[in-house]
Amino acid sequence: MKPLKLLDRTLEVLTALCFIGIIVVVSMQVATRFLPFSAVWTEELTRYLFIFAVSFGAPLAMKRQEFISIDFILNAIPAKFRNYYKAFTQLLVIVMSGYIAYYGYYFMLLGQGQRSATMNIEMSWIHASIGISMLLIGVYAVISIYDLFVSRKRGDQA
Amino acid sequence: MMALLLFLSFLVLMFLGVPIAFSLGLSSLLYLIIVDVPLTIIPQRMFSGINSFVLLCIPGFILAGNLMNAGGITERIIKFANDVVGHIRGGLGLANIGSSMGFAGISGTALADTASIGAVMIPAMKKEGYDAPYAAAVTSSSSTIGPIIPPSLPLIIVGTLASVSIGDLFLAGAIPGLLLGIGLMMMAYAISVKRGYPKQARKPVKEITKSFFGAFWALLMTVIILYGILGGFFTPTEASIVAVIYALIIGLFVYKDLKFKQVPKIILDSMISTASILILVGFANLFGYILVSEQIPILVADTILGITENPILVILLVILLLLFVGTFMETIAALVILFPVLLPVAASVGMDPVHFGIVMVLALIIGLTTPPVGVCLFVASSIGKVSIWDTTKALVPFLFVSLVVLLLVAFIPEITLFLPSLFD
Repeated sequence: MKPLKLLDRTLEVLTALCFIGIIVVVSMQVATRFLPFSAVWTEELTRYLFIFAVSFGAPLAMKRQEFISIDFILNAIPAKFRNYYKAFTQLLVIVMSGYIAYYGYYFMLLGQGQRSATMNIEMSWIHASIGISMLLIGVYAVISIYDLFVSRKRGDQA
Repeated sequence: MMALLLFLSFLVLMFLGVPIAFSLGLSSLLYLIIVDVPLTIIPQRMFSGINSFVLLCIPGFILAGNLMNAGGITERIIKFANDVVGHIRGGLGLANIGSSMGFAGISGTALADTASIGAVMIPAMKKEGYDAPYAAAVTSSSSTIGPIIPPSLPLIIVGTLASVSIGDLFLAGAIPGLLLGIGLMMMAYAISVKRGYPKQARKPVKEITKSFFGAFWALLMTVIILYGILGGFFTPTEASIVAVIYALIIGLFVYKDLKFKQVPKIILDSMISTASILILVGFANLFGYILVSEQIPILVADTILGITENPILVILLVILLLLFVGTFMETIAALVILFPVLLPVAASVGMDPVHFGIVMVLALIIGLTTPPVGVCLFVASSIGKVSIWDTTKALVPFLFVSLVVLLLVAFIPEITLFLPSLFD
C-alpha cells in the first residue's frame, strides 16, 4: 500500500500549504492597509489558493469519512450484509465522481484562453481543480471498498 | 414533475446513507441527464459556489477555534462559568449553559460545542449526582447557542446568499443568543430546584477574578472579531485570519498550553473539515440552481401566500417548514437550498433579510437536538452513555424554551435589528 501512503501524504502537504498560503497572503493584505503601498492581486490569489485547498482537502475528508451521512438504515442492516451495503453506497459515489471528473475536464478546457483579472493566470489551471478533486474522491471511494473486503478477510482469519 | 424527481431522488439517497453532499450531487446529476442539459454545468456551478472571498473566512474561524481549544481554553471557560454560577442550585448545569455561551464566541458550530464542553461537563455532572439524560440534554440544547452568537458558520453562509453584511448578521445574533442562554438557564434552574440537584460552595471573589482572567483572552477574541468587522478595520475574511494569529499568540505565549509541534496537524485538520463543508456548499449551490431554473421559489411563494396572506400566519408557516426540515436535514445544505427559496416569501410580509437570516438559522439548528437526525443529540447521548430516547425525553422542557425564543425573535424584529441599527 506504499503508493497510497504517498498519495495521502502529498494531498496532506498540498492542502496544508495552500491554507498556510492563504494565512500569509491575507496577513499581508491586512498589513498593507497600514503601509504606503497596496497589492491588488491578494484577493484573487487567496480565492484560488482556497479553491485548491478545498480540492485537495476534499478527498482526504472522504478518506476520514468526514462527509455527514445518515446511518440508521446501515445500523438496521444485519452485520454480515453491512459491508455489501457500504460498498453499494460507495459505488454510487464512484459513479457520480466519475461523471463530474469527466465533465470537469471539459470545464477545464473552457478556461483556455481566459485569463484571470489581476494575476493574468490562464483560467484552465484554476478550473482544473474541480475535476482533480472529484477524480481523487472517486479514487478514495474505490480504496474504501477495497478496504472493506480486505480487512474483513483479515478479520475472518483472526 | 422533474423537480419532484430531483427531490425524491435526493431524499431516497440521503436516507440510504449516501453522504448528504453526494446525495445532492447525484440527484442533480440524474436530473440534468434526464432533461439533457450539458453536464459541464456541474463543475461550473460547484466552482462558482466555492469561488468566494467571503466563504474564505470559514477555514480561518474553524482554525482559530481549534487552536484555542488545543490551547486549553475550554477548561478555562468552564472553570470561569462554574466559579460564577456553581453556588446556585443545579450550578453545574447552569455552568454548562454558560460555557456554551462563552465557547460560542470561539467556535462557529453547535457540534464543536457539544463535543468539547460535553466531554468535560457530562462526566462531571454525572459524578455530582445529576441524571445522565439531564446532563446530555442540557449539553446538546445549550450547544445550539453556538451558531447564533458570532462568529457563526451558518450566518456566514446567509451573508453570502443574501449579500448582506456579515458584520450586521453577527451583531444581530448577539441578543437572540443571550436570550436563548438565559432562557435555558432559567429552565435548568427550575428543574434543578424541583429535583434537588446539588450546589457547590460559593467561590471567593479573588478566585473568580483569577478564573475571569483565565477566560478573558478567549472572550476578547469575539470582541476583536466583531469590533474589527463593524469598525471597518477588516473584512470578515481578514478578521478570521487575524483571529488565527491571535489564537496562535494566546495559545503559544500566554496560556502556553499549545505546542508548536501540534500546529501543522491542527491546520490540516481544520482545512479538511472546511473542505467537507465547501463541497457540500458546492453541490447545494448546484441543487439550488436547478430549483431556481425549475421556478420552485415562485411555486413555494405562491403556495404559502395562497394559503394565507396574514403576515403572522405566513411567518408561522415558514417557521413550521423550517423546523420540519431542520429535524432531518444538515443545516448548511438546508440554508443554501432554502434561503433563496424562502427569502421572497419573508420579504413579502416585510421581513428584513438580516432578521429572516437569524430566524432561519435558529429554526434549523433547533433540529440538531431532535430525532430523527440530530447530531448534537447523538453526540451528547453517546458521551453520557444514555439512550437517545431518554435524552429526548429530558430535552422536551429545553426544546420548549428554544421554541419560545424562536417565536420572540421572529415576531419582535428589534431583538435582531436593534444592535445593527446602532452601527448605521
